[in-house]
Amino acid sequence: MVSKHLQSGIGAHNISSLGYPELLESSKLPSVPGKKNNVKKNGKLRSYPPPEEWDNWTEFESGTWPEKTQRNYSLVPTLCFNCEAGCGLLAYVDKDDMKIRKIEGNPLHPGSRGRNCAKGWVTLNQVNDPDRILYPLKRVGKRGEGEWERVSWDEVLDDLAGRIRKSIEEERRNEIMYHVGRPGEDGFMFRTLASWGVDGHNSHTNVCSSSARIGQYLWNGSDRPSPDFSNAEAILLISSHLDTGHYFNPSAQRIIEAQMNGAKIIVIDPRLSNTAAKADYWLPAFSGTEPSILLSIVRYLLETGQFDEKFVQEWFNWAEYLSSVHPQDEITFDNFIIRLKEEYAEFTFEYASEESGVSIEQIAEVAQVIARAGSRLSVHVWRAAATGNLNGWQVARCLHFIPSLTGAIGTVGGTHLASWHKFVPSHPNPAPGPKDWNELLYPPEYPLAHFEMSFLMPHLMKDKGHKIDTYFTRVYNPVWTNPDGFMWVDMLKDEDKIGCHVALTPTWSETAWFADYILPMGVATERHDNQSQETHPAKWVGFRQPVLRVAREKLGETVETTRDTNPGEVWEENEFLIELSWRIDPDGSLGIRKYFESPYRDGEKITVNEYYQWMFENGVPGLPEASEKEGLSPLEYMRKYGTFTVEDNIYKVHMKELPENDLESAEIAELDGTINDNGKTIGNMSEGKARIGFNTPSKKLEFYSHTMTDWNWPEHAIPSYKKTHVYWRDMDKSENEFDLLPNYRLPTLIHTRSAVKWLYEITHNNPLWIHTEDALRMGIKTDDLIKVETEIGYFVTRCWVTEGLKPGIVAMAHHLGRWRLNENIGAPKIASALVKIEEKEGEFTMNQIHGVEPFKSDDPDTERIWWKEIGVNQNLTFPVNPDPISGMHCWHQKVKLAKATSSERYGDIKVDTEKSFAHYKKWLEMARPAPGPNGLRRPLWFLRPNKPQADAYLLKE
Amino acid sequence: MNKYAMAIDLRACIGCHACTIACKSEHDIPIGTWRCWVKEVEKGTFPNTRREFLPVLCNQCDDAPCQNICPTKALFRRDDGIVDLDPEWCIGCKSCIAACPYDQIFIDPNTSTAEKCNFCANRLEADLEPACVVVCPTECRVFGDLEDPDAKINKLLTHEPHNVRKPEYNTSPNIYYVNGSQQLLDPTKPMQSGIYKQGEMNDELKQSVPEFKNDPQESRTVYDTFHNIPWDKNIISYLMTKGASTGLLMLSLFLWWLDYKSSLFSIWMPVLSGILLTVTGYVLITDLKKPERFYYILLRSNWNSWMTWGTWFITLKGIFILLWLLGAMTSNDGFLNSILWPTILVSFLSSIYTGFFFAQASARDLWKGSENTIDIGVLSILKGAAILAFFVIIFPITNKENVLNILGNTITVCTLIHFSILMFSILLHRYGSVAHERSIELILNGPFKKEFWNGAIIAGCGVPMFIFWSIGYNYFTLLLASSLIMLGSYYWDKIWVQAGQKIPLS
Repeated sequence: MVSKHLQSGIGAHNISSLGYPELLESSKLPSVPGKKNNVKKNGKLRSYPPPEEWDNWTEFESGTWPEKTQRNYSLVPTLCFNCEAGCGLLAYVDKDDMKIRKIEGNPLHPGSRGRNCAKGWVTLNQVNDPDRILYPLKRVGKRGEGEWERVSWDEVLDDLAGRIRKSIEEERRNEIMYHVGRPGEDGFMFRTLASWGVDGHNSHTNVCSSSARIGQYLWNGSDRPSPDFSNAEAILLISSHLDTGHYFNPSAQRIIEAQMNGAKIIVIDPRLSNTAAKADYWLPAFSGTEPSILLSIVRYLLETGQFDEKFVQEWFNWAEYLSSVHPQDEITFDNFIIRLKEEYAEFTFEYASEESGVSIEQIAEVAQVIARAGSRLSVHVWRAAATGNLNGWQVARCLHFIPSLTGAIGTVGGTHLASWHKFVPSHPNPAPGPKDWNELLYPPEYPLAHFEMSFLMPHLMKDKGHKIDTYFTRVYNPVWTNPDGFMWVDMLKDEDKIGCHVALTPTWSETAWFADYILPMGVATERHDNQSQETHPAKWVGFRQPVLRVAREKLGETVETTRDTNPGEVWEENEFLIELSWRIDPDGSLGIRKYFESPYRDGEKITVNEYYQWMFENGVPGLPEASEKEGLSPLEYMRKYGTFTVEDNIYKVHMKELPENDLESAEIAELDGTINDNGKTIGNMSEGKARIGFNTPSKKLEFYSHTMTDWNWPEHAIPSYKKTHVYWRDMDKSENEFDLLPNYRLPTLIHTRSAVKWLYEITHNNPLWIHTEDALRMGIKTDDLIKVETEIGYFVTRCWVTEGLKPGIVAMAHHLGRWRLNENIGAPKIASALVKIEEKEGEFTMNQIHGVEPFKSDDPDTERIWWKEIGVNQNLTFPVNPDPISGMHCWHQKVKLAKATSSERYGDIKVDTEKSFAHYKKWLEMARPAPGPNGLRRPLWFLRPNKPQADAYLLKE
Repeated sequence: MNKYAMAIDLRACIGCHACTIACKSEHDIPIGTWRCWVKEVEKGTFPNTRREFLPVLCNQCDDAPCQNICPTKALFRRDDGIVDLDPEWCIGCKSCIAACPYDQIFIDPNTSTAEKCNFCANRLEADLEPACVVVCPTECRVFGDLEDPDAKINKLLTHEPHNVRKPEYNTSPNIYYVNGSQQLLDPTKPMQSGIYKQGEMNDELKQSVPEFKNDPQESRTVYDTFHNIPWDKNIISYLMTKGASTGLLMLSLFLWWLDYKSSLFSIWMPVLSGILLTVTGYVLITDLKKPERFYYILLRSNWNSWMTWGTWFITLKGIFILLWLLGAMTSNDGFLNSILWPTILVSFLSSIYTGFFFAQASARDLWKGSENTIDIGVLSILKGAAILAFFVIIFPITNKENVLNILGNTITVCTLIHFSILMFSILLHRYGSVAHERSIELILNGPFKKEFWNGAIIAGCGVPMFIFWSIGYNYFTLLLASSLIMLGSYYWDKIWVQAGQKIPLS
């Protein structure tokens, strides 16, 4: 049964005028593995050199123009390593001096299609960064004192291998930890840790996205969406996908494509992000009130019958809801709809407007736009409200309610599951998961966390006496990025807590300063990784490569290791980890060595080339055949083109039919079409056929989450509106209390990795945004200094008065405010202030000695730096706010503003870590600890990176 | 033949700045300079606030002011319409920067020559689109050949209303904007705050913007780049020394012609004029970013450029001074009589060409009034008379009283004309340009207020006239008036050069 409004055509667009039939056709095209050439033709002009000429490309140099100097290039594709999107890049390697002249986009890349954001082409700046670390460094003196000596890779490898071997031999495996900020790769590190038998994978997820993840995961078993933006008719974003997003460039391309074709963009955000600025509807809701708007739209769709009844009937776990919550009701779909309307009856537009501060008219209009879009509704929430607020994960839960209700799941223009589109090839010789459970990563207090409670590490260590022997941080800067950074400083300086800290990083960072070894690792053009992201309804794999090595190999040279072609002694993680693993277990007695033996040469150490040779020959369906057609080996194919599309036009994966033989002993529940086999749900009936359904326990879309009830959160079992910790009605205006929004990204920067000249020239400061009305009340003007007090301290910064922010809220960009403790090293000098830190009984103060100053280097540009103030590291003053369910650090802070006094200077920071520890304890009390059913530490169906073996899930008293 | 142009569909621009970076990468553009960038403007009040983005780059104007003013033809037009630049012939005179109404030219600190967008001509030769076009995530830049009816750019321009930056400058730009609001395209519309939303202004820009009023009704620039002004102290000195040199020579020769045959007029003042001319030349050459190339102007003269004409006038003037001195020292009166009027003429031309030259620097509306040319001529005589009065007083000559009378009358007449021109120019002359109004506002009520009223008007005109009127001409009043006139004309030259360039162009 098709829902009534679709039959009668109420609100349906005249789709032919939007050019959709064409798109519908294309979505039906058979999926052909291979590569799609996005080199655009424009008359005789092209966007990129044709791929067949990449090995021998000639072009005139701009620098000597109009004199025609010919350059002979070898064009080598790689992947960007700045944000998480993994866009395609193409390096122009000058064959005369074997240097990279420029870095552009890869037109064959299916996600980025030859286009890039500002952060893509600046990879060239990262290669030539005058502040790069070119050799392995070892600490001299005490940790954090800033004295370093150059050491050889051999020395590093032997020392680390010895330490790790000892930990493993002494069954102290949980004392080995690898903490990654930006992975930028799929599988290599999981595989390595699994081979060591170590549950030591830590990440940045819980300062980033855990709330967005669990909110969706509970619905459909995928921890992120993959919307088909291009074909959408309405795009509902609680995020800023046109400035940053997850994934910025590929998403922005497709969102604007849709908007130019007539789609409406709706953005809920208290701040006028560039995305909100481009939106057809900007709904500046008070922080944490987003669910009230979303649920009012749900109510509207229900009350007006503008939802896909057939889809809901087939795919919602309504029977489970009724039997659990309303056992007295007869279990029928009609009763479910009645109950559903009851559940959300209070969410009128009026109520939503009162809660959110957005006008009734606007909410109503948006609801109508969404209703009209039907199954062509793309939604996304990433960071933003989900990340900012206590119970923010319910923002995601409520958001995904809407496309689920309108049947916009897996449709053309609808919202898809990331798990349908992200492709991880199989790696050679995988190891089983670790046997142990690491409680520093997954403490019993947070059984549902998505994922590691990474930002609580110093608090947990202090609280529970954990110790780490060997701690790797990789492209991870928790001292600067995480809340309560001085707790990290305290922990890292404590040699009893952290035996050895190894920073794997391409550049200086505040965290690397407190390391024992700094090991320089390559940027996007200096390393191997395979990476895939869910950028659109297709599966692709991209290949990051050391482009100078590849260019030399193409010219017939033999290169032993990537280190040989990288600047200085910069290396890549993969070769480093192979070598390290080999040295941990040289004789194979620990059972590790075998995982690092070549699949092609018995008993020999695998090379990075062999690793990817095996992967591309065996782990990527369709690639061997496509390569053969071109007379290339699969590895040669990937070296040449850099990407491969495994499958295109992937829609409605949940509708895939179950194999006949799976059904032999299965039972189909008449009531709701659930297919069970041996007490386990294996699929769901839809349109008269047995389907694989979703990756949830019920294989349905779980409107009602039994898991939440099982794990002591019955009040959170269905999508609901629960107040945030920075609820606007709790702010006392007369005391100048504000909700600080500190967690927004900028289109031109990416955390602390992008401290390069061209980007910092555009963006180098993070003044505090404040609305005109609030500024007038407080007598503040743009450029005035202001003191921002948090629960544990304060910081002093400048104001920027704006109409682009909701009154009552202040906002400050996340990226700026880098600092260093030494005039010459410690953080990129173009991007950091020189500071001094003083500590007295847990009270830390930081003062800026000077901002950015021009300096001499090989690059004349460093003497032309004209910006001075570099922002303030606000995160240092934030206490940790772990959401008791998702484990997310809830970024928003309740702050008190005051005009700075004459003794307070720009960049002053003060923090009391005793207060911050007490704050941690207070939030810890909100948690509802494991065990859950059957003595489990965590629901078995929940995702968990580096998943341990099943026994480890049992919480033994 | 091709005719390249670009249409930028602002509906699709998301303000990501990728184009800025792509351009920096392709052309290795140094820090502090830009061939292209993206300006951001906010307008409206909460919750109806909007932020708009404007990618800007060289307009490749059909009638390019930069090309007209370039004295050495380093700027040239290619057959495909692109205005390109050959840095080998650039002397770094910065006239093109002063001429471009769009702020799209800068001096490359690596080469000390001018730099501008050329649609990536080096890429076009390899059939590749410009870097900023290729990189754009949302394909908001449509580049193409206007001569090709099937080109996407022609389709876009046929179907969508579009406009250009500053059409009133009649340069026929070749960058078209779809959906560009006035606040975005017209740099005089939005206000500037002291800092941008994610960055600071450079110090110079910060000082030049008017005080920011938190007036949410007005549109606000929330991101922009800065541009160093091309003309400053050296150009002020040039106006002073060249004016004085001209005035001195003209008046001395005129007095000689009136039969005041003192060596002061026939030799010493022409010598001083020559020295001042040499200083002028020195100042001009050192103001070049490539001073060693100054003679390129004479080798590759662009006769459309007033800078070229000026250089020739100044050179000729130098030659005539030398000839004059030769004749004077050999007491060859017949020869002197034959070159007297040509020398005065060349000298006069070397003065007033500056008015045409500044008017050709078409970026700046303050310099466009034709009264300025007259004023420059009058001012040079005034400066000359003031200096001459000083020497006549201390130099033993016959008929001193008569000469001082002539000089006093000259000063009086010229001051009155100068004053009238200033009053007309500042208070009355309006030609519907917001930029011009803004410059005037800066002079009357802004940072130049004191220098204008106290310096140029009261000290430079009012007091000298008052003492002449109340006391008459004597040694004391002439010396005092002359000193004040030099001071006043210095202030006016300074204001005229600086206030003209204070208005944002982009």
